[in-house]
Amino acid sequence: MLPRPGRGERGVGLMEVVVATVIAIIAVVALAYSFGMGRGLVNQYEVARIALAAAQRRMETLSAGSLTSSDLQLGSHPSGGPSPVQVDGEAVARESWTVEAYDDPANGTNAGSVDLRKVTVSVSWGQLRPNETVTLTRLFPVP
Amino acid sequence: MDRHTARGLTLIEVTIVMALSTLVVMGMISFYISSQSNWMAGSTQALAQRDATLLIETISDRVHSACVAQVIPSDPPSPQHQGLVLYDPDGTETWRFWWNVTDSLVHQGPGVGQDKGPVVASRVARFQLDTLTRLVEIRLVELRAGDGQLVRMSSAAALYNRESQ
Repeated sequence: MLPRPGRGERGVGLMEVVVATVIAIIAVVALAYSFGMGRGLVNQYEVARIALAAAQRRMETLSAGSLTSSDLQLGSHPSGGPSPVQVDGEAVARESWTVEAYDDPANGTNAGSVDLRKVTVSVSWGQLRPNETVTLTRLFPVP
Repeated sequence: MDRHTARGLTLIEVTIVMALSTLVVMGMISFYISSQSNWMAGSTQALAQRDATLLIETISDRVHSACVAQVIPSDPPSPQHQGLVLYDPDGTETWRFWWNVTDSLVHQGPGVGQDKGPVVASRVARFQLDTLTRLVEIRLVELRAGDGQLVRMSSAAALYNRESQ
């Protein structure tokens, strides 16, 4: 005859094992999801950094060029729509820029006069969601 | 508890339970190892991305205050790597960036033999530049992350101090 188990020695019930397993699985799945999210963000920021560098390159190229360049005429550029941004021969994003007339409110001239030109460079990637576009703006003098 | 329910576990039952437990534990261990390697790869890649941005920003800052820029070949000459020498309006060299063959890092300093150390800690696989009249084009900066993955970036910086020429 085996001795009767005492108080507190009843073992672990099936329901307890099932609940513990479910909790463990939820924890593991959440952990895996967080790892995947982290890696996805790293990849997303890689393209974002490339896009920011490309936008800076375009802005610097416009700054280094002539103020009478056709790239700084009022309107949208390039004329054929966004052009590909290439890094080492691989297209990773699309860039475009707009040139708008800008009235300097502090110079005392009439409102609506063209004192400066506002250049906005946009570099987009992915599916064109709002968080997949980098935008840089700079004011250029009028020649 | 009667004798039937208190009979304990047979060797077959223990074996099956141990085999299942081993499978579960092995699965958890492999998941942990793959997650850890994934995490490490992501972290090292993020560091390389940050270093690429920092390298481009450092070069751009120096170029902005320079008047003239000259691209020089690396030592020893390599089509994958170049250097950049910046001058002030008097024609005096103010700063230079070059790829160092001994550590594969991009170094900087005010002149030849005046090495102020590497700009960033990530190894540079390719460092290619070009100059236009008022522009330094950083054609390609390719950094190698700790796990071997490559991070590529390109940009440009204008020689704003050339206005005074």
